Amino acid sequence: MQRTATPFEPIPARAGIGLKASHYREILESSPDLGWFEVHPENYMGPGGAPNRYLEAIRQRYPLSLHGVGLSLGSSEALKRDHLAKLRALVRRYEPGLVSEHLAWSSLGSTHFNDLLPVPLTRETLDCVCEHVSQTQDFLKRRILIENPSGYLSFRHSEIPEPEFLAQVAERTGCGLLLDVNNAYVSACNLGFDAAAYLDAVPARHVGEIHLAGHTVIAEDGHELRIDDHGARVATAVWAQYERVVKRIGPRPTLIEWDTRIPPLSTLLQEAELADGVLASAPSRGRKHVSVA
Amino acid sequence: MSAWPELQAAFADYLLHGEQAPALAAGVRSDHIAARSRLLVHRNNVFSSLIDALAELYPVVAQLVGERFFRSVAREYVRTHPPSDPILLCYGEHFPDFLQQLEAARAVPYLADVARLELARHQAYHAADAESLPVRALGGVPQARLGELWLGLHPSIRLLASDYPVSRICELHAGGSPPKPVTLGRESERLLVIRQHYDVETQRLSLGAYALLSSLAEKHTLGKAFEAARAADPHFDLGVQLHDFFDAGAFVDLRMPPTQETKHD
Repeated sequence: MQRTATPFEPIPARAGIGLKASHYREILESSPDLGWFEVHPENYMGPGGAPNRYLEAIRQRYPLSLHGVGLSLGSSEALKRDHLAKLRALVRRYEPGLVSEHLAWSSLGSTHFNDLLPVPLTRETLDCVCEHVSQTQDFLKRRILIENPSGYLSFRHSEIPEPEFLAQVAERTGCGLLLDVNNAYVSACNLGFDAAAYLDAVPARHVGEIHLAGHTVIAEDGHELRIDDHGARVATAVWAQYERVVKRIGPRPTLIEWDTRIPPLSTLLQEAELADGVLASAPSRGRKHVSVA
Repeated sequence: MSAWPELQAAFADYLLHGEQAPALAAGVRSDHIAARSRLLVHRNNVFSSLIDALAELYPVVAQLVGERFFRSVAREYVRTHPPSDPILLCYGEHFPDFLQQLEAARAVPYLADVARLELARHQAYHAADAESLPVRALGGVPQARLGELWLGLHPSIRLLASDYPVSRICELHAGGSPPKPVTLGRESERLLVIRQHYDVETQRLSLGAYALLSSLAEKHTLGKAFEAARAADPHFDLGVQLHDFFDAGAFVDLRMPPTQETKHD
C-alpha cells in the first residue's frame, strides 16, 4: 500500500530483515512479501544523499524498526546528547514501530570502539544502565527495547544473572526487551551456561522483539569460541531454541540479521520465511505488538 | 574490585593499546579459555570492524596495495586515529593524509590522491540534499551585471587536482578486481565530483573550468571567477562552461549584490 505520509505503524508479529544498501533497488522493484525492515539509525545520520531517500521510499511500503548501536547505554559516563538528538530526529522522521538498543557500551571519552562491549552485572551498573535507559526514553518520548549481548567473557565481580539484570532494567524503566536468541546461544556456549535455562528466565511480558542471526566458530586456546558475526544462516541449534521461545511466549516480531558477507536478498527472504513458519505454528498468546507508551 | 568507571577505562585502554592493566586482568574470569584470549575477541572486533569500514571507503587503494598491506596500514591508522563518533559514515577522512606521510607507501606516489578521490566520492554520496537551479535561472540577470553574480555550489561538490591520472586509475579498478596492466602517461588531472539525485559522478575539467569553479567555491563573484579562468586558459569560453555546469546541477543558489543606489540609501 502506498502512502504519502508515514504515520506510526506497529511492527507485526512476523519476520522482518535487516535492510542493506545493496538490496535497496531490488526491494523497491520487487516489493517482497515481508512484515517489516530494521536498520541501524547510525547509517542514516549522514547529512543527506541516497540512504535516506531509499529508506523513505521503503518506509512508505513497510513498517520500520530502528536498532541503535551507538548510544553506549552501559558506559559509566553521561550519554552523548548530540547523538540522542540525531536519533530523535530520525524517530520523528520515520515514526518507527520499534526503537531498540543494547545492554553494552561502545564509546568512552572521545573514542568510539564500534563494538558492543560487555558490562559487569552489578548493582552499580544496573543503576547506571537504568538511568541511561530512562534518559533515552524521556528524550525520545517513547519506550525502547534493550537487547541481551553476545558474550565472550564474564567479570569476576558480576553479581546478578543476566536475565534477571535485564528484567530489572525493564521493571525499573518500563522499557521492553529484545531477546536475541543467537546471542543467548553464543554466550551460553562461550561462557558455559545453559541456553534454554537462560531463555526461560526472561519474563515473556517484557519481550517485544526477537533477533536471529548466524555466527562463526573459531578455535581459541584449543577450545571453541562462537563469534556473533551475523555472517551466515541461522544455526540449527538456534532455530531449535527459537521454537522453544516462541512456544513459551507466543509470536513476536522476529528479525533476521545479516551484516557481514551479505548474501542475495532471496537468501534473507528464505530465512524470514522459516521464521514466519515458526511464528505461524505458535499459539498466539502474549502481546503481538509492543505499545509505544 | 574496581568500580565500573575505573574498570571501563582500563578496558578502553586495552582495546586501543593491547596492554592489560592489573584492574582488567584481575576483573575478567579465566577458565578453559584464558581471560587474555577472551579479551582479544573484543580487541579483534574493534580493529577488524574499523579496518573493514576503511576498506569499504577505499576499495581502489586496497586493490592498488593488496589486501595484506592495506589491512596493516589501516590497522595503524585505526590505532592512531580511532573514531570519535558512532556515525561511521564520517570515519576515515584523514586516511589520505596518513597515506601521504607513510614511508612504506612511497613506491605508489599516486596512492594518496587516489584515496582523496575515493573520499571525495564517499562524501559527495552522503552530502546534504539541495535543489539544483536550472540554467534558465540566469535569465533574469541583466547581461551587463553577470560579473557581479554570486553562485552557490551544490553541497556535494568536491574539487580535486592531482599530478596523476587518478580518475583513470579509479575507472580501471571499478570492477572490483585489478585490471590488466596498462601504461598511463603521467598526466595531471583536475576533477569535479558531484552527486545528481542518487549517483555520484566524477568529471575531468579543463584548466579554465577548474579555475572557475575553484574561485566560485571560494565565494568569489562570477566576474572574479572568470578572470581566474582566463588566467588559466586564455581561450576559456564562459557561456559554454556555465551551461555545462548548470546541466550537471552544480548551482543551488544565485544572488545579485544590491544595486549601487540601494547601497547608498
